[in-house]
Amino acid sequence: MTRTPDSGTRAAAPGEGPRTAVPGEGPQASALGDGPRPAALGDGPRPAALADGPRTAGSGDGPRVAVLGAGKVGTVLARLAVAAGRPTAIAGSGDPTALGLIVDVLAPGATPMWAADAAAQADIVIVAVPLARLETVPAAALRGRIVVDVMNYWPPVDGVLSQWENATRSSSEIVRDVLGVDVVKSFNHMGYHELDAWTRPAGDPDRRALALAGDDPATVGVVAELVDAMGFDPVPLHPLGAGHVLQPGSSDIFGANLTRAELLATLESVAPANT
Amino acid sequence: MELGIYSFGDSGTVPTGQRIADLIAQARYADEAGLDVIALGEHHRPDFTLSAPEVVLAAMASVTERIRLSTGVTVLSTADPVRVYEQFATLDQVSGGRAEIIAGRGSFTESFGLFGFDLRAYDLLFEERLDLLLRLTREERVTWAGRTRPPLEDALVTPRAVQDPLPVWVGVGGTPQSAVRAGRFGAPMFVAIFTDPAPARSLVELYRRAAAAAGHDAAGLRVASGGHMYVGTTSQGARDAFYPYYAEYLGRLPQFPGGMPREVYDQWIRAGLLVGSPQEVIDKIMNHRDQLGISRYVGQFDVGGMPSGMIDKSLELFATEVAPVVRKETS
Repeated sequence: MTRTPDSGTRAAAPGEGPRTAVPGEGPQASALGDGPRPAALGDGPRPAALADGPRTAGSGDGPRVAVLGAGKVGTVLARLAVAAGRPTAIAGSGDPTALGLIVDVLAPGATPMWAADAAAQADIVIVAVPLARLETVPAAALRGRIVVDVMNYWPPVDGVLSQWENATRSSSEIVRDVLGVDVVKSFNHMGYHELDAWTRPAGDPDRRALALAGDDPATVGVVAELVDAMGFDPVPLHPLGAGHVLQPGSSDIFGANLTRAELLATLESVAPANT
Repeated sequence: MELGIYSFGDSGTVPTGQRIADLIAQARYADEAGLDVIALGEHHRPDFTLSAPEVVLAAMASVTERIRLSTGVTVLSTADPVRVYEQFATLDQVSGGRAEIIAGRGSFTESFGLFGFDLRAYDLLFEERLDLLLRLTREERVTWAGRTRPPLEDALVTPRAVQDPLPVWVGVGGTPQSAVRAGRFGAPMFVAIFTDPAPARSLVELYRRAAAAAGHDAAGLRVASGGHMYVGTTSQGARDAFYPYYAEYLGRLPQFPGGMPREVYDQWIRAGLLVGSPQEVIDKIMNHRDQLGISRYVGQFDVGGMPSGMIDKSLELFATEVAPVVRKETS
């Protein structure tokens, strides 16, 4: 498998490219069963969790999504979740009424809530706060939820944080320990503008890929369905620590906006044997 | 439409004194060539020569006639607003009313440690200090109280600026809350954009709606944008010549520790990075204007420690081939 630099690296022009899913459309087929598998993919079962039909409360179908963090990344992910037809809540650092204008403009259709309430009513909780403020996340409300860590350690913004500085583990393993819940690492290796600009329907040759790393294949599968519905090819990795290659500076994956074939090839070049 | 340049004074291999002398000469050239504004950033790291931009702006004031002299940005969270106002009111007097401030967070955090501020208090610091600075530009005597500095009681801050009020922009990188704050304060907004301006449309909408909700004349508020820029004679020549310097520059950020890969660079250019022939750069600035309604664009013209000859040539092409066309198309 070789990288093809000229295929599908074109940037999206304004207004170009349809959203991947229209509200009401069900989840796309998970990529767990189709196409070449990355070497690091665990052979876990097809996710069974949450497969018992769409929920009906709120607007949209499928697993309820809560996004904790209403900044650059959080507002984009909430917008994509709404566009994928998922009932979506979003929480900032405080009173949800302060979020009204931001949600109206950046993620219309999402419901502003207090962080603990948003997490408690959701199936999938996307944590998108600066790592320096991770302790403000209501960890107790995350128990029993599928938790997605989209964060990166970014010293120019966060300052130097001793837990993450020079860490040899994946940053998501540290997040898991701080929050005390299992997490799936995803969405971290594309920029928020790129996430916004690159949504494509399944099968589009320009579609970008998002890797997901986690310990439990069924849980990863549920998040993979969300990734797919949001307009990206999911590429599962196992276990959580394998997500280290997705971090800033760890490989040529972070910030590169790769197609599925390109991402798989890059993963193979990083870890030729199984991870 | 106003056009200008900005610099962080990337050190490169040039001694500091020479780099600053080059910048002053470039400001003089920009002034003579009719550019509208030059802005200098504030960084507290060895890879940039400028930690006290107001001092270099004052030197620029003495060799220029018309060009506006701005920061880009003043790291307001770690500066005292009273001192900032005194310095820029003085610069305004020195320059005959050409001083401006862009208040912002900056790309790095060193100033917090150097001046003894808690990075976690960033938001409160910025909020309070922007409030006080704006008050100082509008009121000769200020009574103010907050949590991050001692209160002021009917304080007279002198000298007063020539301009009333002294322009204070708020620099925004993309955080929604920052755009809301700029709008709430009714301050003009500068948006840093490096690739596609389209995603910032919603940021500008957020800004104008927040301004309207706070009772400001939202439609009358100015928006400017800016980012990295390199103009070459030809498209391919510009891309190839600029690449090694840009790759090294972005290599200082966490994502590209070995330097920015060429494929990513080419992707950024396709997405909107202002690197190319004069016509390409014209088109990209016009796209900023079309997308965001900007009335000013400023390009960072000396990125990545380029040799001064390269910087001068790019600046010349910007001033003589890009700016006149953009002005004509937007007049």
